[in-house]
Amino acid sequence: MAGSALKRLMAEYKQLTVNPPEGIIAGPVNEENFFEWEALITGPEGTCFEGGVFQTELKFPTDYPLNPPKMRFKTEMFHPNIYADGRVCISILHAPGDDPMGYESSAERWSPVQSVEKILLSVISMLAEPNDESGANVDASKMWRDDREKFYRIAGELVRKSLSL
Amino acid sequence: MAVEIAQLFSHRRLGDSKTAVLLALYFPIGLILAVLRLFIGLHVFIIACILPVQVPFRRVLLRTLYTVLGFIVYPSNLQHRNQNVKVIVANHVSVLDHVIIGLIFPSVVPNVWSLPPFLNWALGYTNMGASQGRQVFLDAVRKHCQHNTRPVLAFPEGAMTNGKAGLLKFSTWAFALERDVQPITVTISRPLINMKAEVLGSSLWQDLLWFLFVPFTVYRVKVLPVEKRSDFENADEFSRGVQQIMANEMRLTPTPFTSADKAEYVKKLGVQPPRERSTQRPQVRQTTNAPSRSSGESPRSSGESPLDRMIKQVQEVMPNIPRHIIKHDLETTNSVDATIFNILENETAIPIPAEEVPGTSTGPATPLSTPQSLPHNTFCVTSQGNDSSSSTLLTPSPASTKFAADKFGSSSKERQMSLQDRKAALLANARKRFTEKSQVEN
Repeated sequence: MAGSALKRLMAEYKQLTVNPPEGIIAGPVNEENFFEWEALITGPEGTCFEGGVFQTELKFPTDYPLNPPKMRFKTEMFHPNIYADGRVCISILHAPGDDPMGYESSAERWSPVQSVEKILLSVISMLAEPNDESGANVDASKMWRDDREKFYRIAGELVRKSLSL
Repeated sequence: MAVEIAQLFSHRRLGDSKTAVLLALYFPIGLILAVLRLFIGLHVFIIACILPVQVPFRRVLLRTLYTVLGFIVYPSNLQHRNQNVKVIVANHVSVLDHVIIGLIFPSVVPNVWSLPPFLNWALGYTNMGASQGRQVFLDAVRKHCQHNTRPVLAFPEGAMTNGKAGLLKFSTWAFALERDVQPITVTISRPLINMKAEVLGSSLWQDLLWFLFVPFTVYRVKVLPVEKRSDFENADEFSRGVQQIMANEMRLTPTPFTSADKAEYVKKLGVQPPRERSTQRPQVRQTTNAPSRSSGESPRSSGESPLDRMIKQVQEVMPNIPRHIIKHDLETTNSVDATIFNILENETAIPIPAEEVPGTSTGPATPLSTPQSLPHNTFCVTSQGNDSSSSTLLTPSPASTKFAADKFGSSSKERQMSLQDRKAALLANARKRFTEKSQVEN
């Protein structure tokens, strides 16, 4: 099982190396363990996270791609869909079986035809458009709804921090 | 007691061998009938488009014409229909359910498919913005309910079943709209020649042509009393309650399977030789996919060759690689591992999808690329996963931030170096741009 996971990860790594999406770099932290990756994500243009470079880690299960990886932001974040410890709450990271929000979104659930690239692109979309309905960070959700200005200020500060400036 | 997913759908168009003999005898007649009906159908379609919905004789006229086309509709328990209830939910047994129910109760079917606008209109669906996310869609439907007298018709199962064993799990949107819903049950039968109206893996057009071919199709549409959501129920509980009521009425079992499970089941059948099918427990989520299978190909194609199996194994690992390339390589290597190695090594073999613009995240074929699974499933997208709405936000900036390596190094060390370099370059570039920008602002 791990063999096919490795092959698949290798294939995705190659794809992401030779033809990465805009503002994304991803790969194994250390090739001795192919199941732990680090990805750099650039905050999408025209949003409050614009310009930031956020560090995330991806941990793959040995039966990948049957099961999705776990993803966590290592850079400090403040976002309605990111938990305080950096875990990301996004439908593509959930297998269709576990269903916290009602099954209609199963089209965006994890399935083996999804990929690291798609996860990272989804996360970028999530940065651009927080979904304040499924609040992983209640404070951030509330602020996003009620005090957008303040939210933008905090995000701007995080962008600066992410670049260590 | 538990219904297995395999029992919910028809696997073959023909019911039994007796039907096959009858079909052979009937075939010439059916063919003539189908051609005639095709032309009559065209006229019916035009009439249906021209006549406004409110004209009273429209229904009578259309019903007569539908009978000519072979659709016989028996409505029953019409006294239960409450005009004030704006949401009708029905089970889904054929591609024309909404047309048939529309004959009895002129209604609006919100489009939850991603169809081209013409097809959308021709099939009688109304676009209510399902592609823009669940909230937009629900608001649009709610608005419609308030301002319009025509009810909304929903098929909460989201996919067709054979109507013989069980009902799929209901999606909740129709139950979140208003407090009252009017359930309707639809059963379909084809006397004389028992051809199934829905078959796994069949396309819309195939289903429609068979409708014209068979002598006639009988629809029994039964109206059930209005169901009211209580204060203690949420949409999900309410949907399950209604599913139970409809299932009892039809003597079916409500199942926990969703339309997505059906899509997955169809896919699974596509990669399994038929003889294994009966022994396989369908609940086990088998996740082997053959994403690049062309949509027209029947998922029931039997007798898989070893080569096909190997191609599929390679595709599982590398869904992006076109089938013909894998096939070509497998023919020389005859080994899954060797081919994977070759494709990884050989740059030119991979058509790095240049057309695959970053941000659109088309990626490998989506799991819903087969036509029969396309409808309904694509529905209600959460904002983060929604490609169409979010991709606009991800338009690449003029100062491109793409950090691609020229090549994928063959040694681990080489790759690590390249990765570190690119990370540093991305960060440096981001810092530079940030400082430039803040200078401009100040």
